Amino acid sequence: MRRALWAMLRREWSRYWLRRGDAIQAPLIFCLVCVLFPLGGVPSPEHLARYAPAVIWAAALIACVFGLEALYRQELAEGWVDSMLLSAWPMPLVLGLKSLMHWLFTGLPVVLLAWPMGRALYFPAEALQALLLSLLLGTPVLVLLGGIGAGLTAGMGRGGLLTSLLMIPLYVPVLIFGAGTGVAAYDGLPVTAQLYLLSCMLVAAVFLAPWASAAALKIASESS
Amino acid sequence: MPATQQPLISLENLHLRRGERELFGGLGGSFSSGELCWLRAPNGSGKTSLLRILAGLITPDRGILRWRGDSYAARLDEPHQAISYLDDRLGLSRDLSVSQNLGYASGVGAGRPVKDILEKAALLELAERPVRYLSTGQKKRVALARLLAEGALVWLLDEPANGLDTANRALLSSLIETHLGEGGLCLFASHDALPWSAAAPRILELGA
Repeated sequence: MRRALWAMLRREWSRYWLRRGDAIQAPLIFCLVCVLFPLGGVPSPEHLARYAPAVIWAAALIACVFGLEALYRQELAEGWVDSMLLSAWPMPLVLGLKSLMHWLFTGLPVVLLAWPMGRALYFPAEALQALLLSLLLGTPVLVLLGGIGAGLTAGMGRGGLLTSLLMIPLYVPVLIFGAGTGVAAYDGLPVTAQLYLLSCMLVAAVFLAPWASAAALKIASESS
Repeated sequence: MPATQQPLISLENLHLRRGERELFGGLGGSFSSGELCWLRAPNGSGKTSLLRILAGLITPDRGILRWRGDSYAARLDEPHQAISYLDDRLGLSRDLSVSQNLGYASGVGAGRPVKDILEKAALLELAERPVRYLSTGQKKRVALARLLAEGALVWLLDEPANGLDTANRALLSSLIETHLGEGGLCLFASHDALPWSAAAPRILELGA
């Protein structure tokens, strides 16, 4: 079991490491959105700080789902999906590990970059901790949900737009409660309710999304 | 019947339709350890579909599949991967090197040492080369080595000799013979005869 898990993690790590030039685009998009936002609005510290949670969360959402629609397309075309369906390992476990690795290369850098971006938008340091915690809980949910869409559209030539359209209704609650955490923290209000809700979403996504992705990929494999 | 004498795979009354057309119907038979079976049929007669049904990747419209006389899901209870499938998609990551691909297949499969597999498949000199830079025949050879790394009992090969030169066809034959000698089962689909040196394949005609 340990050998197989290690082999899966090593494969995913190697693939992302070899394509680190592509992987860096997600955090780059996050930084660009955060940096360009003040140029289009009123650049006063009060306005920027007020809108910082919404900007950071919208940018994090765009960054996390960027490239996600292609998560399984190449794997299906290369026959990896068939190989894994035949292997002795449960597909949801394999896909869960794959999502984890995608998050490590896209979601985690976004969470880490949220601190300097938040400060650049004059968001107070004492409220920033809550916003970062909301990103730490929410970005894996975005990646796991996006994996379902990626599985559904894996067999299509260009399913990027369709994946986003399919998944937007599921992303919106994460965005609302994630940005809501930052807004409440800025106003000095308690944030435990929002963080509990995001934690519930994360638990539900961890235990349900890999199964849904596996079912979607099985259908994609059958019709390929 | 003792478990060792049970056929590995048996089929009863298998039917598959694609749209209005019946690809095959009433197909039956059994396949045992050490057996080499050639699915011979013209293009479009359902060879690939039958292999994918045997792999468990698609479900037939009707019919029963058994694994060692038990339900077909019992193949998942084998200590290692029961079935390996090879088609023109090869099951390799283009970005990774040959040894990384084989290391992965071995890690999730039977755990055979990668160096042994590289030697058996004559791939030592290509070990560190990314798969994307290999020729079609070399990629196919790596895909065959993947089967060794997975260590499955049953090999299902769809047109395995496509893209292989004479030397690589001989290597394919020798790998299959070794697999059969170790108690494996091999079913391959092809519309051409392959240069098997020792084992004479049992022929299963589709669409006949």
